[in-house]
Amino acid sequence: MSEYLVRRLALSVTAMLGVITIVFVLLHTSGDPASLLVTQDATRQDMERIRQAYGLDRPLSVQYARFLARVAHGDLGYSYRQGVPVTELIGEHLGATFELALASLAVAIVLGVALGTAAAARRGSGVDTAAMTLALFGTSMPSFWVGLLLIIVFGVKLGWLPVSGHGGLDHLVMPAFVLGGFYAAQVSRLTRTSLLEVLAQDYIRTGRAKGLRGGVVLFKHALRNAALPVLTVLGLSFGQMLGGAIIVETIFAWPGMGRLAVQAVLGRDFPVVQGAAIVGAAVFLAVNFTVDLVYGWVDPRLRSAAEQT
Amino acid sequence: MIVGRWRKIGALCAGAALVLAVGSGAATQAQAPRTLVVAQSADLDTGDPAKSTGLATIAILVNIYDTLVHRDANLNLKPGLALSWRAVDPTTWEFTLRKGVKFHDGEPFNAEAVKFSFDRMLDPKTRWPGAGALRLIKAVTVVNDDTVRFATSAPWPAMPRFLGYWGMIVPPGYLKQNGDDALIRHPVGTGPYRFVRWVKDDRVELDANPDYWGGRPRIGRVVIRVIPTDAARVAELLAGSVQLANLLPPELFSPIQISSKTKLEVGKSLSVFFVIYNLVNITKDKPLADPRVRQALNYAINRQAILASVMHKVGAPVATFCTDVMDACDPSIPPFTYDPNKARALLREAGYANGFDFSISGTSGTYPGDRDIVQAVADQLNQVGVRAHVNITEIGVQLKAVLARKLPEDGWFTRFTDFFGISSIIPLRAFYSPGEWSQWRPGYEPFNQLVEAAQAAPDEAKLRDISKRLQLMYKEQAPALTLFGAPNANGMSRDLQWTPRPDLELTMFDASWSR
Repeated sequence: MSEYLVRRLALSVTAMLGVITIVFVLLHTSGDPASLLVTQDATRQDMERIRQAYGLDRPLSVQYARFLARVAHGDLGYSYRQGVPVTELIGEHLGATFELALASLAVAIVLGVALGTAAAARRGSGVDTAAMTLALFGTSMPSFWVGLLLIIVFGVKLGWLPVSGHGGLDHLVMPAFVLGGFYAAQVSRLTRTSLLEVLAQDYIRTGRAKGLRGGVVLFKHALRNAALPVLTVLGLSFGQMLGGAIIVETIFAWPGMGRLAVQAVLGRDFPVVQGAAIVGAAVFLAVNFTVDLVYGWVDPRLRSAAEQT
Repeated sequence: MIVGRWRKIGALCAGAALVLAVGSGAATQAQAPRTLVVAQSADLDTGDPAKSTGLATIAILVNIYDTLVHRDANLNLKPGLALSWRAVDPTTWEFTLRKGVKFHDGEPFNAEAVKFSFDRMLDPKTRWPGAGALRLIKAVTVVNDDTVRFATSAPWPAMPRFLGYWGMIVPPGYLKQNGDDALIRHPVGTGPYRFVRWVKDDRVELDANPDYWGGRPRIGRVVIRVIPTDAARVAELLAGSVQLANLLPPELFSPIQISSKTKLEVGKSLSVFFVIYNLVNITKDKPLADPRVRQALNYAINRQAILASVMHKVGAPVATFCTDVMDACDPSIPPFTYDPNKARALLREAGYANGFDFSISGTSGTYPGDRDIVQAVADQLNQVGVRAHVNITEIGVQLKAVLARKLPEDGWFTRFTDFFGISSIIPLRAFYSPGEWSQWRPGYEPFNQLVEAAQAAPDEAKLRDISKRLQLMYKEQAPALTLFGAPNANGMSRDLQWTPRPDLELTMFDASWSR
């Protein structure tokens, strides 16, 4: 088990290094932060001064080495635009992202699993068709469009929910439904397929033959065994949500990581983009790692297999 | 520009849907709220005016800090923290300061604070990106507690106009006590509003300063929210939860105009859209080397048609490089007329009867309406036989190429802005050959000389005279395809009274409720 953990950890570090390098190279070759920071009155000297101040006049290899050395010490640098440490900026935005991601995950689990289970339990019925049509809508409607529709109906026309912004629980409803709804659609289709597969197994038939009630068979025996692929998808989805749901955050003016990253990219605020990429990748890898551990808890076969290696 | 693109698509769809929502009676609007909520698309970068030149940042900070010189909504200069100013000699300005003014933390405002603020702003260590505009300031000296002198390295008659936009005064004692970074998170000025709270990427809250030297603001509390999507800002406005949304794109004007709760207020503009010709080391055999060709393209553009369609009738054609609100912009010089026959004749005369290839570098989502404008320009050029096509480029990449003078295209679609409101500034930035952004190199020496003369014009009459000559020369040489002023369109709640400013500052001291 410990060897397995070490291997996973080493893989994660390599992946992180890859992410950092790609982001660094792409950023530094695509635009000049000085040209976006200065006003149109700036002279060449003004821009040179800014490049010097941020070390952008040095060879790329030197900048890269310095950057890696700083990251190794947990120092992500200062934002060019805001003049505050990147770690502080990320800290301020991570909370809102967690809030939205958790709420969206809840929506994805509750809606997705409920719809998928209902569809599988009543396969071929009207419930199945309705649930899967809903899921099709959920995956195929672009989130910016659903978001704006919800805003117009519930924010403008009915006035039940705040149009956008961050605050109380009511602010969370629309963004969580848009973000979670998208993943719920995937989860429901997967739950249905996986559950149908399990329901066709011999032990389910045996259970039914023993006279177990339908509900017990479905929830106690089938659902738990059907959960493995669903968990994988949920884990990946949660990782993506934590990396920042750029579109949903932008539409609903949600002050999370996605918006921080996009603004930084557009303004070529290199330290913030790099910081956001590092934290995003780290969170994603951490979530995946946790999902791996949860597998063992859900499926004892995996646990014993890992212990044997 | 993915975000820009989907934002635009979303805005178009939402614009239509919002019209429907308004038509069927939008949500009930709250009764005239005491708190004014303003929605901007971008957040404050920093609370320290010496660290940023960002438009959204300045728009908020003008409520917290004061400059020595103030300007009204028509950009006429009026006393700010300085009661009066005079030129002692061609390179010295003297400012007499207002007495009895206090910073929000109680610290007194005086000549020392002025010196401290300017020294700090212009110190290279501060890294203020706007320092270039004030580089002529050589030294600031305290004469006495309420008099301060600015020595400049060259005669600078327009300096007070520059200090009507730059030069917010910060409290020296507060910074000495709390460290040089203290203002970033907690701004303290002498302005009409006091800083209360800043939640990053969400909101900035301000309370009226009851002791403001200009009198107590009529609106007691102002919240500036950050809502990046324009359609969501308009939705907030229609829902009544926001009372002012600035700099809206043309595709969202309709729902605001239709609703009985909101109004569209269009302010004057200090920004001009151009397609600047890439004349960097251009050889004589190239079409754009001939001024007749450069003029021909100007005659090929139907500006009114673009304004009527793409810009929803907001904006006016611009004759040269200045708008009517800028100092010494000659109103008698007419814009290029739409005359496709003349365009074809000029092209024939220059030896390009069969047209030529003309590529334009454009952006999407950087300026309101940018992508549609540049596409419309290309279409109209095609109608006179010029084979124009547009390459949409991300703004950072585009500017990098422009600065390196390596733009691959023949034209650069862009917007130049002069927040100081002087007609000779845009030519200095955009067309003066030694300038950083100029693509007219080696350029035209008589034009360069006139630009230099305009910067040193000793008085208004002289400036008007030079500016007129400069504008006439610009039309004749045509270093760009001149389009029209960029829109300064604001959606407002009907019960809010406020005049949008050409400099885009959100001066809420001037705002009031009509009921």
